Amino acid sequence: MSIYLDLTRQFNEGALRAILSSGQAAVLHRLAIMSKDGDWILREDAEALSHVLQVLDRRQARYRFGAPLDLRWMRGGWSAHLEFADRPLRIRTDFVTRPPRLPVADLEALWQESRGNLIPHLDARRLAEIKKTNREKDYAVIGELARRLPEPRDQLLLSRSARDILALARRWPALASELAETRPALASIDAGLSALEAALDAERRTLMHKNEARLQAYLQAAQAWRQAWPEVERRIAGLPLMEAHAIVAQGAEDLLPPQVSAESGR
Amino acid sequence: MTEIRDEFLSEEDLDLQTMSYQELLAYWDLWLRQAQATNEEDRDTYSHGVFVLLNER
Repeated sequence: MSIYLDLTRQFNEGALRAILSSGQAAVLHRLAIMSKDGDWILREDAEALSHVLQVLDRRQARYRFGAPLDLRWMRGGWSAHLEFADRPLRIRTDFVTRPPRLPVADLEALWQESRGNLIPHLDARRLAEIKKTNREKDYAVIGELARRLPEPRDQLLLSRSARDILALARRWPALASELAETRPALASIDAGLSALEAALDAERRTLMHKNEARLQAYLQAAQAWRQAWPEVERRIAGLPLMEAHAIVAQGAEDLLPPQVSAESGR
Repeated sequence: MTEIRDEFLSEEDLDLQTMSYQELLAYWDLWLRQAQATNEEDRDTYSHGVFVLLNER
């Protein structure tokens, strides 16, 4: 049993609270194994966050620099990062309640769809949206994910292959034309393979810069908290996680703004 | 004639599709164990979320 499946089960004991996301979800889609850290989308309520902290407390996890796993910051799109040893593995657990690029209604639909799943994990379409990061390797994952989507609409909106898009457009020309309003790169279909490839490359760059801008806004907002972190880390060293959490949350109150403006990546 | 198609992932990655579930779990575990070799190197980095790097080196 993978540690990430084990943790996902424990996080969801008795109620749906956590959806495995990003790299480890990509493994469950049998796409690639490319990340050694775990990432979960948590339900945005106090019980869910408290339960996850208790599970990690039993694992003797510690906070890494990041936001407290507390509703005030999670609502603002921040991420919380914890780590523990499961010899011989170093296990990192990363959490958000507001993943980038998933609108609120889509996120709510995800929770509905995830009910009853033994190992709740992000579906291919939403995983592709999450993967629109500033890392080149994530676009390879999106390219493969898009091929596995059942709906031609979603394939047209997410494919990274100009050849695939041209083939899709031959089968569904009206749909491709309609979707060009949503995805401007599709307007290059009629100009042929090279033009479409160039449009896809430009689109990838734009998405990467957009994600960079989003991260930059959080980086800026976390400056004071970053400076204070060595002292906070010293204070929580060796403490049980629930005690450490209280100190981290209290320390962040004055130094880490819960809301960040220019949350531009959504 | 075989048509050329755009490839995104390695053969090794694509092999995940043909593994049994137990084989997938075993390979996943092996990969994670091998990946520990870079723990010191990526000590200050972040894979997910809104934080990028803890310390500038």
